[in-house]
Amino acid sequence: MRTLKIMNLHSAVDNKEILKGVDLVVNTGEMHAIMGPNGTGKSTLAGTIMGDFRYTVTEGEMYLDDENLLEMTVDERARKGLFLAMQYPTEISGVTNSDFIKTALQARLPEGEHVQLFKFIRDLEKAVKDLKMSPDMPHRYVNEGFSGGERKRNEILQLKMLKPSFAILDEIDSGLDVDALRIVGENINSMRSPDFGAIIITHYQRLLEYIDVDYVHIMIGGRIVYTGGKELIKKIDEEGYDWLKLADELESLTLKRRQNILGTCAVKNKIGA
Amino acid sequence: MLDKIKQELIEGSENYLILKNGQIIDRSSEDLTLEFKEDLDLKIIHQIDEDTTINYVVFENVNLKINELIYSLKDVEVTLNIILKDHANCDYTSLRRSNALNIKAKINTYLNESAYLNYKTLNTFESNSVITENFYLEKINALVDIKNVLINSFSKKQDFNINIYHNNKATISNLMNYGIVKNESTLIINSRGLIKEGCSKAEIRQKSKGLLLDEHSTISANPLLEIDNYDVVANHGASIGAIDEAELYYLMSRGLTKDVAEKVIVNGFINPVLALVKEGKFQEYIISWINKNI
Repeated sequence: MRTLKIMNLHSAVDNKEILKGVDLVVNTGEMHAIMGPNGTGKSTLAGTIMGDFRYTVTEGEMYLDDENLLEMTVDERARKGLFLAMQYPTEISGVTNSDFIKTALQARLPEGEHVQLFKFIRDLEKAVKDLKMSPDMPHRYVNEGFSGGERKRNEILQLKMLKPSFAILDEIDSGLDVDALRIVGENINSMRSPDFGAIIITHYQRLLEYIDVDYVHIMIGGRIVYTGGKELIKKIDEEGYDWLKLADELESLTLKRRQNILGTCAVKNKIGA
Repeated sequence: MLDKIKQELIEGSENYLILKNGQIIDRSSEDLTLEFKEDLDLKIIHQIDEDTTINYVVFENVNLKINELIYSLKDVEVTLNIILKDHANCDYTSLRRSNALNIKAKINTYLNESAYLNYKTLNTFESNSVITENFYLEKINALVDIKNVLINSFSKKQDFNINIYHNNKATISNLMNYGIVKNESTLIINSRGLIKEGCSKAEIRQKSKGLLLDEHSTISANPLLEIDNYDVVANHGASIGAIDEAELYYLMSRGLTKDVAEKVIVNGFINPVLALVKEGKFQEYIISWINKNI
C-alpha cells in the first residue's frame, strides 16, 4: 500500500494565500471525492500537490510514502506515481498523442530499457476503444483542436496508459455530455485496485454516480472542513453548501472565543459583543 | 566525408546525384543530370568548398521530388537557381548546414505557367550567414508553398531574406518561417512580398513564428508587403516568444524531464515541416542533425 499524506498545507498564488491548512491522507485502494463551492481552493490543492509552477507552498508538508514531495520537481512527482488530470489541459502543437504518451512511458523506464512498441500500440488502441474515442486520436496533436469533452477523455487516456499510483482528477466532468460523463466515470471506476488511489475534485454529484467513492471531503475557504461518506453527496445535492458555511463560520467564532480565553486567562467578551 | 554522408543518406536502389562545387562526381545512373525531363524521385548531395552556382531545370509537365543536402566546411558564396517550366511540379526539401565562418547563399526560383513548387528547407548553420531566397512567380497560376526552418544555436548572426515577386495574374504564394534561437544567437527574418500592378487574383500569405530558447538570443521578424493591385489577397503575421510555461508544466506533469519536455516542444514547433519529409534515412538524418543543433 502507498500513502499520500498532506499536512497543514498552505499555498499561495501571487502572494495571496489560497490553501489555509489542508490535511488529507489518501491510500492506494481508496477513492476520495473533494467537493466544495467555487473559489475554495480545490484546483489550487490539485496543482500544489502536482507542483504547478504558479503555486508557492508557504507552510505544511506533503509526503508520498516517506518521501518529501516538496523536495521534488513536477516530473519527479509524476515518475514517483502522481498524475493530475487537468481542468484545462494544454495544447502541445506538433506533438502527437501517441508520441507524447510513448515518451512519458519511456521516462519511467530505467536507462537502457525501451517501451515495447507492439505492447504499447495494443494498449493504446484498447484504451482508446474503452473511452470510445475516435481511432485517429493517437495521431492527432495533443489537445489541438479538441472539444472540451475530447480533452477530458484524453486526460483519462493518459491516465490509463501511465497507470500512476495516485490520480488527482480536477473537475474532469466539466465539459462532458451525459454519455461522455458515464464513459469517463466508468473508466475511472474500473481502475479501482489495491495499487491505485484517486482524489476526484468535482462540483456535481453526477460523476460520482459512476465512481464508487470511499470518502467525501468538503472544502471551504482553503481548508477541508468536513469529511464523511457517500451519504454527503446526496446531502450536498439537496441542500448545497450553506449548512457547512454556517458551521464553518461558527467554528471560526468558537476559535476566536478560545483564543480570547487563552490570551487573557479570563472570558472578557461574549460572542458578538 | 562524402562517402560517409552517402552511406547515411542513400538507401537501396534510390536515384541520387552527388556533386562537389556543382560538378557531378557520383550518380545512380549515367542519364541523371540537373536537367529533369522525366518524373523522378531523387536525393542530391552537394559539398561546396568554393564559390559555386548550380542550376536545376524542371521541364514541362514533369513531377520531381528532390531531397537535398547542401553542406560547406569553408567560407563560400553559393547560388542555386531552380527553374520550373510550364506545369512542372517540384517537391523540394533541403537540409543546409555549414560549420564555416561566413556563408552567403542565394536561391532563385522561377515559376512558369501553372508550375507548383513545394519548397521546404531546414537551415542549421554554425556560421554567420546571409541567405537570400527569391521566388519569381512569372506566369499565370504559378503557385509556391514555402516552409523554412531556421535554427541558430552557435552564437552567430543570421540574416534570412525572402523575396516573393508576383509578376503575373492568379499567382499564389504561402510562406511560413519557423525560427529557433539559443546560445545568444541572432536571427533576422526579412520577408518581402510584391504584387505587381495588373496581377489580379494574386494571393500572398506570410507568417513567421519564433521560439527563443534563452534570454539573450533574439529574433527579429520584419514582414513587408508591397501591393500594386486591388483585386488580391495579402496578409502577414509574426509571433515570437519563449517556451510556454504551461506547455512545459503539462509535459513535466507526465514525467518528462525539463530537457526532454523542451526538446518535445521544439520538435513539435517544427513538426509541420518535418511531418512533410518522407520517413526514411533522410528524415532520420534531418532529425538527428536538428537535435544536435538544439
